[in-house]
Amino acid sequence: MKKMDKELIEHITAQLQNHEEVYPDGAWERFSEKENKKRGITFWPLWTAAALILIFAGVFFTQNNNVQKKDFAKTKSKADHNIATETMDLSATPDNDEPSLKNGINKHAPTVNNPADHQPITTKENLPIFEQQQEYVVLNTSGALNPVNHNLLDHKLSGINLSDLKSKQFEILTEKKRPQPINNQTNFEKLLAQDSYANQQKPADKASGNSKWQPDVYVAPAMGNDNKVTMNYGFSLSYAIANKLSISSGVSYASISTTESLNASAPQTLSGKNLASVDAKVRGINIPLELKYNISDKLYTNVGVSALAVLNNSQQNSYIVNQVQSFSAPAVNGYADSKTMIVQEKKVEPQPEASIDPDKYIGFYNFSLGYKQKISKKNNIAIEPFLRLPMKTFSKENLNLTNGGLRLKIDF
Amino acid sequence: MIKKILSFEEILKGCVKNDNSCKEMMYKSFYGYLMGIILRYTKNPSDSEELVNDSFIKIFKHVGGFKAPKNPEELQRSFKGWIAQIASRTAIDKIRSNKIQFYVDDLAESEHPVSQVSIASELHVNDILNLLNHLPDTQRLVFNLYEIEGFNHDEIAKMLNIPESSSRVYLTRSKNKLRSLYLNTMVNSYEKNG
Repeated sequence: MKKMDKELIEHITAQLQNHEEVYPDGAWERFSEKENKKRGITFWPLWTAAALILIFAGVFFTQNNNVQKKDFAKTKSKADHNIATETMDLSATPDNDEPSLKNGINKHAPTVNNPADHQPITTKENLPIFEQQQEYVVLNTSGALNPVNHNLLDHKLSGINLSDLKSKQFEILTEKKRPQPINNQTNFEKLLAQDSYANQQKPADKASGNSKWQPDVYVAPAMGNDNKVTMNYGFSLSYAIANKLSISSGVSYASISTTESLNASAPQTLSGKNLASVDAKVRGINIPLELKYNISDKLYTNVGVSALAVLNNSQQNSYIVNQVQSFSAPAVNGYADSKTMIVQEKKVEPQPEASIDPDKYIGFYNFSLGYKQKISKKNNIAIEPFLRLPMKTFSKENLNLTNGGLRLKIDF
Repeated sequence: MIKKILSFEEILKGCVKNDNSCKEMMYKSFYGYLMGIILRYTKNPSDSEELVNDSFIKIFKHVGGFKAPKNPEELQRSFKGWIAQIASRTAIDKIRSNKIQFYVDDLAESEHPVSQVSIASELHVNDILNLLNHLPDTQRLVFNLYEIEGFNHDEIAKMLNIPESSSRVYLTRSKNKLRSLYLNTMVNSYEKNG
């Protein structure tokens, strides 16, 4: 018994130490996929960030446009003010100048007027003053410098000053004329703005006047991560719940394709095959529920969720397989050279029905930004870039069904 | 594309350079070996692949730190020893983290291994693993570490944070249990040979 015990334990030890399990197919793929998934997760926020940036940029841009319009108006009025203040300044400066000049004149005036003042009052003294002046002139001609001479020069200067003043006033007048056409322009722009404002008001009034329901049809080419264009067609109906906000739903035929590359290299064994990539195509009926916000009368944005009822789901797997091929070529010396080589080949197989994702519904988050253009009294045509983000990855290969495209819409 | 069959040394160098095809080859060639080790520690087959993958993640991460022996002939053997150590440490860590779930399973009569055809000299690994599966976790762990990995009681005691005497007791108990389990199920066939 003792011997048996020893043998038993020894046997167990030996067996376990030398034991190796068999390698099951697909273990490496699962392992590398797990590693890739970690990287994939880091890519996800990038996508959503890109989408959010797009949306916010759109909203910001449009709002900024409005603000700019207002700013323009504001700067215009500011400009008016500036011009007004400038004119004020201009008118003020002569005023400021004038008193000084006038003061100057006044200062000089007595000297100028003195004789004049004296003239009416002392008409009799006229002659002596003239004589005095003549005397000065005489004195001047004599070349002698006298303090009285300064007086005479002052008189002359004051004369010049007066004429200068006149010319300045003339200039001011012409300057005053200049702002007038600008004022006219702003008035004209104000008119235009009022006009456009009236125009803006009109359709809004009309819309509110019409029924709150607005049906439209659309066709939407979309593209997934495999760069294949798929077509979506749909009908939607929106109901205005507020002036700028409406809620919309509808039904559409949606087709989404995606591909997932697993970065597989050639199998290291002769018989192995490695899953290189998976292509999937999902077709179904998409039912969205969206909130639409009219940023302006032409721009709007949609945010919502949608459920895709899967009608058809096909998946194709491409594998890299090794094949042994022998080549023989006659060599120069008469012998035949035979070479056996391992050749890599790509093989595409449809995924068996049983292992296709059994999900009947796929949820999406939808984001879009649209530009609407009137084509007739009742009809609008709209271009709407959109992005559909799946709520979770699809199938066990973690296919990413994110897709985006351009929706061409006709309202009626 | 024409491929060259790489030598083990080249594969090892490729793994250090993070070359994916070398990593794949490494994974595929040592998966079974590591799984063999992991299965000694874990009962749950769904855990085992996860543990093998965890071990490979560690191996690929630290492969640059693996010191090759001077004798190139021993390279593969020493590498296997190195990765075996990583795998068993990974498994022990996992068992430690699940320590709350430790329980002593009483072997019910209906649960006895039923591979009566086996004879002792050819006692199949699956049968042995089956026997191990019926050991309480701590006994199994100590048995593994002492008998198969070759640790002594002192090392085991430090590794599992238990007194050295407990380690001895666990080992004795595990052997007794294995013996009785074996006798209950396969004694007839064994005695015929023995």
